[in-house]
Amino acid sequence: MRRELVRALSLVSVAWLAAVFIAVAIGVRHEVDELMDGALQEAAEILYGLVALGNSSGPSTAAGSMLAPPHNEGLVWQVVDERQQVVLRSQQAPSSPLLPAFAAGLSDSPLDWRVYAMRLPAAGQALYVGQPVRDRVQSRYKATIVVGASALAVGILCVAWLRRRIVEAMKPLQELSLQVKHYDPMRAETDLPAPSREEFQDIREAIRELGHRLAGRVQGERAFSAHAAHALRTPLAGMEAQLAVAMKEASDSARPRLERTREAVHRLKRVVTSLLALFRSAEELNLEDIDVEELMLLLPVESLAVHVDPGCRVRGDANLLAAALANLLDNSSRHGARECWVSCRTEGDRQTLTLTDDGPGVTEAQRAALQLGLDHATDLDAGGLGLKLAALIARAHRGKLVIEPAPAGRTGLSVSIVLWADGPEEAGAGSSPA
Amino acid sequence: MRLLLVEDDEILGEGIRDYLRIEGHLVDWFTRLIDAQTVVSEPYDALLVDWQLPDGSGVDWVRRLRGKGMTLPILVMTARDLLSDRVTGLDSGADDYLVKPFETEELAARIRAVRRRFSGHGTPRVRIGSVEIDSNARAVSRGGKPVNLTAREWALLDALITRSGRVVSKSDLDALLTGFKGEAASNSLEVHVFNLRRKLGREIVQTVRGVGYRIPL
Repeated sequence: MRRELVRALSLVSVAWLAAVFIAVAIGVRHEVDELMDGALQEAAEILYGLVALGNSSGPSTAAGSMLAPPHNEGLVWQVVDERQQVVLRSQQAPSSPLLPAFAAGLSDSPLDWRVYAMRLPAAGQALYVGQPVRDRVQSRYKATIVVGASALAVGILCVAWLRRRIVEAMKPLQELSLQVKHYDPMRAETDLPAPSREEFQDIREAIRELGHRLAGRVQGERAFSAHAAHALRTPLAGMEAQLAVAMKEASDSARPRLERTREAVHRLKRVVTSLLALFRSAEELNLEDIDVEELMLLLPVESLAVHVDPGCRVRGDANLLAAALANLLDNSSRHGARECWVSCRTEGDRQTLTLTDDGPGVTEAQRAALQLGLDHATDLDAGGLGLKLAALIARAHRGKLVIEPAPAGRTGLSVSIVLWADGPEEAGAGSSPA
Repeated sequence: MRLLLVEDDEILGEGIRDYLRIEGHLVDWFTRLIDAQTVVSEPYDALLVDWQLPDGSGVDWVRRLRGKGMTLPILVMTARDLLSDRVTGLDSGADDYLVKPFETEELAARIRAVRRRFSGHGTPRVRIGSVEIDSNARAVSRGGKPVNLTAREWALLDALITRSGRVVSKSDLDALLTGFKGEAASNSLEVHVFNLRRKLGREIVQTVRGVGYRIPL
């Protein structure tokens, strides 16, 4: 904003100075002309008296000019007869008439003279008093330059002063902007200090009020998250412990059923973990460079052989991506896959983590419906919770989930978690999964 | 081992207690801190404490116990999985931190691990002369030949191994064997010590007259 203001001021100032200069030039020209015309006329009237005393008896040279010691003449004069012949002139007046024909008063000569003409008492004679146009132009120029330059200098000084005043006036606003940029309502040490200008006090209070409301909401959600975590995790742990005991005590015939129950508990555990991680990520992502191969080692992959491309790395929230991959692996396993291949691809900021399985896959119509449901998050029946969770996690990373048929040679599906499709996220910056 | 479990959830607490008993441990389970505090000074081998208890914070209790000089291995169990929570739990003095829901096999393994660290035995296998003891597998051999121990004999041997080099009082060992289920009422402590010596060699357990017993380092 400061730059815009200064730019506007500069443009206005330049335009103002140009207008002032033009006005000065016009005014000076008018005044100079008026002054010099007045002087010309006055000189003519004075000379009229002298010449009217009798020009035939006056001293003159052979060329008809009045005798006088050498001097510069700012004004020249001529006495011409009825035939426009010069009968008498000043020393530096031209020998040809200043005007081609008599025209009383002020007129411009084709010989670049400004001329004032008067009739003399003697019959047919006229007095021409002339001033070189060159002198007039020089006078205008000098006056314009002097006055214009003075006006310009004053104008430039005023602009510089105004610019500095604006910069100083904008400084508190810049400081406030910087403070707001670093303001974190969850951290008391970043609270906005009292502004140096009273007029910004209301803005500061409004921002702080908004921050307090936001902090209150975040704290409420965190507290809920903690309670929800306890309420969900503890019963799951209880189920797990009881099943472990039951499996130890059960007969051989009962053990398989208990094992399946335990698998269901593990799946529920993964979903709960994913949901809690998603809920928490609404505050901020914990971004890090992830070795996908190492991440896969931590995931439960019973009955599934997983092959990870060497050097497969992505940047993201490890907990969320682990939850997404766990859900996708679980999907593959439940839909009959026995092997999975995990690969990575990077194009600029965009990173793609693809999981391909050898399951039976789906028809093209089913695949398209799944993709549509995930893209618009409207069709609650399209795809299971695992896919939806993976899609939300991709969205939390400014990306999306893409479902495609497995590449040639394989029968199943390829599910790609595309990360940073909308540009990179700054580390620690928040991104809502919803 | 004799374990003190403080967990308010009935289903989880019962499951953990029963699983660890199957594993051969003696487990005293309480649902409230106030009840656990009355028995914590007894000779337990490890404490398993839930963070969020109805009458207080398990982590705060751990902090107080450490402040009083208690050195027993302590595992904190909790639904809190944030890094900050894990740091708080461990900084309170806990030796390990388990996030719910965990698998009971993992809980049992972590209990064995902290117990090994506490006893100075970095590995689950300990060798004393010709006797080799594998606490993970609960297997004992002498001269390469497996030796069968009863549950009480194993509990007694395990209690002495984890305090190897130190004298364990008779009263502590009696308390360990008290309330053991699944076997006929015991004879005296001396009978079990005699049986251990018979099976593993006289040198395995040393008598400290008037005080108790110890296994030499």
